[in-house]
Amino acid sequence: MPFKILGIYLVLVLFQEITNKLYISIHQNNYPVIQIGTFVKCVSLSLMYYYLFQKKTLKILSGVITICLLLFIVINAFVFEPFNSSFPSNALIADEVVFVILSLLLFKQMLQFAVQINIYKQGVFWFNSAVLFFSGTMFANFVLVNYNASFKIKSQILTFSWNGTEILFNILLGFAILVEINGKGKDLKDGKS
Amino acid sequence: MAKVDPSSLKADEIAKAVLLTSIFSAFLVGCVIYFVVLYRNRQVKNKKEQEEREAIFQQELLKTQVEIQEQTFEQISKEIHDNITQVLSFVKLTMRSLGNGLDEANKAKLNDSRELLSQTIIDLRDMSKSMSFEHIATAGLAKAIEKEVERMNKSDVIKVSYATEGKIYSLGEQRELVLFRILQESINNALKHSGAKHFNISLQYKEDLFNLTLEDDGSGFSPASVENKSGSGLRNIENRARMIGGKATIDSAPGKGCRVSVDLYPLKQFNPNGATHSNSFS
Repeated sequence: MPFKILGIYLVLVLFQEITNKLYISIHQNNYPVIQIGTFVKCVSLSLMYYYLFQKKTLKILSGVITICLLLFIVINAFVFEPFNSSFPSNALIADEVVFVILSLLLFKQMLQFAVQINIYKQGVFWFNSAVLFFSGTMFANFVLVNYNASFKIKSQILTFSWNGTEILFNILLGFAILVEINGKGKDLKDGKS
Repeated sequence: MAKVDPSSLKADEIAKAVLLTSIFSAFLVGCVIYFVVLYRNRQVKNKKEQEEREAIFQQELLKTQVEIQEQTFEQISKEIHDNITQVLSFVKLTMRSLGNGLDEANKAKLNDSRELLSQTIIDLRDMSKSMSFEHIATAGLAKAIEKEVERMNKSDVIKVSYATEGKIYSLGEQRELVLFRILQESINNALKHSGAKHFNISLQYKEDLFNLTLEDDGSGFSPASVENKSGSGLRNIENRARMIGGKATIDSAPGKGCRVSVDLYPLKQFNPNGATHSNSFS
């Protein structure tokens, strides 16, 4: 189930990227697409974590955090950073902080319930590494973008870093799905259920 | 005073910020690598624990099997001793009283039958003793083997020789019983599969090492050919030896007989449960 959600999320990301280009060409900005994208990402990844956590307390914790985050994203889109005219910096920063915490908790759970499968052949590992890397790096990227914006600086390196991180993130998520499918295929071949 | 170009200041700031971001990204990658190392260590630890649990389980299983076998042997032994031999003795006495009214030819036949019956009773009693745990525990390993050798040699099926070396000491009831059962299993294998004519038993009692060597001159076998056979007597021998903290080595080749050697360190008792073995040598 969790990797099906991830698959759907990647399809939505592709759709978002196409919509992004179209929206920019028409309206000169892509704020509403980013606002919706943030909401979709938050729901998808939170659901992933909800299914991946084994302990009931962690499931509840991730559920509560996600609900709070979603409420914040919605309020932010209507109050602090309007849907049509602002980039959702607050929502994205909160979102990345939450996902860094959830990914660290998932790593802790993985250590507690270590299975006898090569870690590089576990889709969960690639997914979680991608989230930790992306959320951590993007958090730093936001700080820089906001800093530059406040001084009206345009930096190509920063744009490259931002886009590069996003591309790498999506590639890692795709790889996680691939690894998971291969693992399941081998299990079926070996007769494991 | 020199003027500072604001654009170069901004460029410196950006460079610093990008550097910081890069360091932070590298730190995150480092965290993931550290996690991988921790995870692998945990996997190794878990695997080790699982193997230990499996070893303990196997030991327990083997102990239970041996206990059940011993109970069955004990029951059969008692049945032979208390019932069958008693009935046969009664038959023997009845035959004696029947002989009074017979002519010489029939009397001779009856006497032959009585002698055969006597021999059967003796054989059954010996068999009962070799099956009985109590008998082996009371007599001790060396004495029990001596009796077994006598019994085998009387049967004329196989020539068994027996030798001991060193000062005999007790290995504990359980271990001596298991060693005796290993001996019986080996003799049984030699009789059943190899067609051996001679069987040598050697016991070596050293201060910190006990060795039991069993050799036959039978047809032998290739160890690879019996490796995959489940429930094989040879595997039983290895498992039993392991159960008492010993190590069994089986050497054989086609046409070269079979040699089973069991080494036991009486002072170094292997016990996966960590509990003191009731039969530890002290």
